[in-house]
Amino acid sequence: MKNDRMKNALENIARRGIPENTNLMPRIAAQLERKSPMTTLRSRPFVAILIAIFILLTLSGVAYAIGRSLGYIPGVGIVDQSTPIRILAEPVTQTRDGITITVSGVVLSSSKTVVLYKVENIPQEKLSQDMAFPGCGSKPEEHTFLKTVEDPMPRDLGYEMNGWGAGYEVRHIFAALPAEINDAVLVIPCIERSLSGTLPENWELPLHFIPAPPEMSVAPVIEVTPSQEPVEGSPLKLEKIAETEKGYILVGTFDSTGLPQGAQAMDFSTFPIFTDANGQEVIYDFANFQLDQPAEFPPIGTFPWAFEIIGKDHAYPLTMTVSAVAAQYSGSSASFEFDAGSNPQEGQVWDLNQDVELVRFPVRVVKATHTVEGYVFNFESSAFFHGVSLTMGEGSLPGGTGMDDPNHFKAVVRFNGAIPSGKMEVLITNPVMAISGNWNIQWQPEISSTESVSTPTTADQTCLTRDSWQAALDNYQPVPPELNGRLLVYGALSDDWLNYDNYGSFMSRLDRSDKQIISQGVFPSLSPDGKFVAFAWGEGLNVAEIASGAQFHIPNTTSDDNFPVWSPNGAKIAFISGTDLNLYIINPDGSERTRVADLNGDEQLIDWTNDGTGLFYGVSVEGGISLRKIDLVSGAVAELFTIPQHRTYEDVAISPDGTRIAYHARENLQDAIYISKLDGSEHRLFAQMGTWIVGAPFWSPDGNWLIVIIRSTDLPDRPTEMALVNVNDCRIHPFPLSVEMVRGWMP
Amino acid sequence: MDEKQAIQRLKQGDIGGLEFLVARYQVKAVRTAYLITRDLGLAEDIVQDSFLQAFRAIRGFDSTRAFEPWFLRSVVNASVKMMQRSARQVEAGDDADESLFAELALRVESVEEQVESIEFEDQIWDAMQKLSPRQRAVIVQRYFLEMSEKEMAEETGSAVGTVKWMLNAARERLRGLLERSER
Repeated sequence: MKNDRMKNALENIARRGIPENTNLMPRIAAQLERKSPMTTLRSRPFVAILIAIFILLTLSGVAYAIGRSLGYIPGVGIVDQSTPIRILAEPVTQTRDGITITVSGVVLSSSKTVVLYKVENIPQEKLSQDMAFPGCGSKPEEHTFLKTVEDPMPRDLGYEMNGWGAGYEVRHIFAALPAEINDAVLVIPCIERSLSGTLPENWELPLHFIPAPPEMSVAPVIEVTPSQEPVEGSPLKLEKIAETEKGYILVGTFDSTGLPQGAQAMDFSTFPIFTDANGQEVIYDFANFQLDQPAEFPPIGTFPWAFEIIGKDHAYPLTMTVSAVAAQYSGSSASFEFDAGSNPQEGQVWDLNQDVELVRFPVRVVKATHTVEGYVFNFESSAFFHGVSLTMGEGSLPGGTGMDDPNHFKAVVRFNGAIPSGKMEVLITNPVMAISGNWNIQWQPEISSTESVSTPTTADQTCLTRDSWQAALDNYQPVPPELNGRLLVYGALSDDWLNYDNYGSFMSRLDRSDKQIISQGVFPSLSPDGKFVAFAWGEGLNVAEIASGAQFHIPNTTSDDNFPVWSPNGAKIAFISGTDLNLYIINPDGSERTRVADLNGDEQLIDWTNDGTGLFYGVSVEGGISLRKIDLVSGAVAELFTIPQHRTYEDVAISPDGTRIAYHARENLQDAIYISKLDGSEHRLFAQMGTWIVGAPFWSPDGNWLIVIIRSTDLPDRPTEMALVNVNDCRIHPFPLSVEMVRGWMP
Repeated sequence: MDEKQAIQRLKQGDIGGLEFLVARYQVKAVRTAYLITRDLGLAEDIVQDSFLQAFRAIRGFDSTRAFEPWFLRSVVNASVKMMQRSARQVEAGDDADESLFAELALRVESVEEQVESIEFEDQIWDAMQKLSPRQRAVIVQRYFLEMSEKEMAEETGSAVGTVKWMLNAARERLRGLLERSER
């Protein structure tokens, strides 16, 4: 009953704060619309056909990017290296009324200028929440631009933006600046979405450029060799490959080879699929925005594509499969008559039900609707049309077009001046249809990593993988007696592991023998002499004596306190207080409760240093956990390195000799365990099992083995599996315990 | 169109698929974010960004899974991260008294008048202000979203122990705060 009472209370509170008629879709749609044409192309390929046509008509005189010396710069993308690259001399920051804008970097190549900047500390109440009044950024004069002594200013080629409420970061691309121009001003007329006049406007950030240093990391972009080209006659072509910090960018084109007569390929109709050698789908991201800007637009009937394969450890070769493309039939047209009457009104609808023929397919013009800018026409056909262009005589312009479903699409006609009335002829041109096929290419990397990306060597192979785990199960070898010590663990207290109310801390050998339940408490910690267990539960921190089972609450601790860790000499216990999210130490008798320092972060306690003079802890930062060490005497903090996409407390373990660290990281949407030195150097991928979760590493007392907890994601409701893996020779011993975490090991 | 179709369309880059999902989940998502952030504007921003992230990440989404927990998890995480970036919101509190949470709930159960229910809700809301962002998040996940500890562990990729501690600490803290407000 108390759960219902709590739920009802929260529901009523939420209902009071948030009405049922909340509608975020206009804002979301506007954000999607505000992306650059290239990004719009990738997010709505079929709807963006007319935008692609617009680009075709406006871009001119730029040579296509083949055959030049290309390189890849992380965070910037592919750049032309045939002329020296320049960079921002130093970051530029301005703060006005508490809002800070920082230009963190600029990269200038012979084909583009990439500006990276961040806006922070934006007061939310000064931002527009209503799409009827969208705030700054919707009008051309509100767009950010680059000012130089040259006239005209460098053309805006689009931008990508990521926001987080109180700020946002932008990667903005402009046309290339002449080599002799080494100074520019980034002008930001107003803060994105800000209400007019409420926030500082007209920001001008002076930028100075210098030659890029020789040691700047630029990965090579590989032109595809003839041996990698697909079967002749295929429209799908792979042309360039760049290795990135996340994976590989594949760049290519799709032309009209083999398409029906009159069809000119425009874009993908459905997004391609990448699969590995085992037929498993491979995750990828769109990389158009990382491309070097095309020098000249590809010929009609050909479109470029770029995708970034996420991750490098795949079962090769990879296969890219395209099942449908959108193609324009510029030679096909049709027309019909539309009578809007003498006084058409906005919102008025006409049922037309007129039949025409496009690309030899019957199409029905279902209805027309008067909008604020012109007319929208709805169409229906058994054929898969993406859209069409509509004009209605002088003064009309084709507007947007798109499909509602494979058999229904619509198109807009806009007017610069007054919207005409009466009888009009509507001309349908440039129909775009989906053409099905099964085009594919295969690819696998042929070069080893550059110095900016490390690759495990034979000596540092990944020890625990799906294959090695299966092999260990098939050739099961029990844990050797000398390793069958007593573990302190947290997990199911009985065999009913699905009963989550019956979890707690207990001792057990790796072979499940010698089990002793300690408590329902969480995050247990074994004292260095193996006689006591500290844990968090109920009123705060507690200590249990293993031999007698006696337990006592540590005075001066509260239910906010958690994650106790015994010091190497057993005299102190470090823990985290949930009250102020800081690190504390205390004597086991509750005396001398001391805050380690006011660290101003969401600290996660990891362990003591071997000599007991310091604590290892982690702090959440953007992109991961920053691993740090604090000296308990001086208070000095040393930053070690940042673990990317780290999960929670139990996934970091310092080796018994204090020289190495095993940690979980989540990269490229996959869980993995790494081992490295304490400064993050000499890191090696130790365990990765595809989509399965690996975590909670724990060292053996001799430092030669790691316990890894495995969670299969193949089937729901499977218990965890445990592996004992040798860090030197990768021997694997599965063992029959199934727990959530290991917190101590007595030899 | 059903949810499966909406996700399929979204995977093809069709914004119509996103419209369906926004219409279905936006209110619950904004309420979830609001309970953690306590700020309507911030909650809407977080949910807007979460939908945009879902649009970008949908190709990696396993269609055999339910969309709602996957999406709401990202909303909860984003809300907690947002609060952690902000200035410390947690106030230091006195030690909680000994009374049982069940006893408190029983006492509330016996109250009939509407105004006393609203007072309880106000007490809950005030007490929630004093929890850390992560504590607030687990309370919202457990009681508002009605996720089991197993679901919470699965969705966050955490061990059940982590979830149990977080929930226990949050419940204890909430209990103590409610008790003090009763006096």
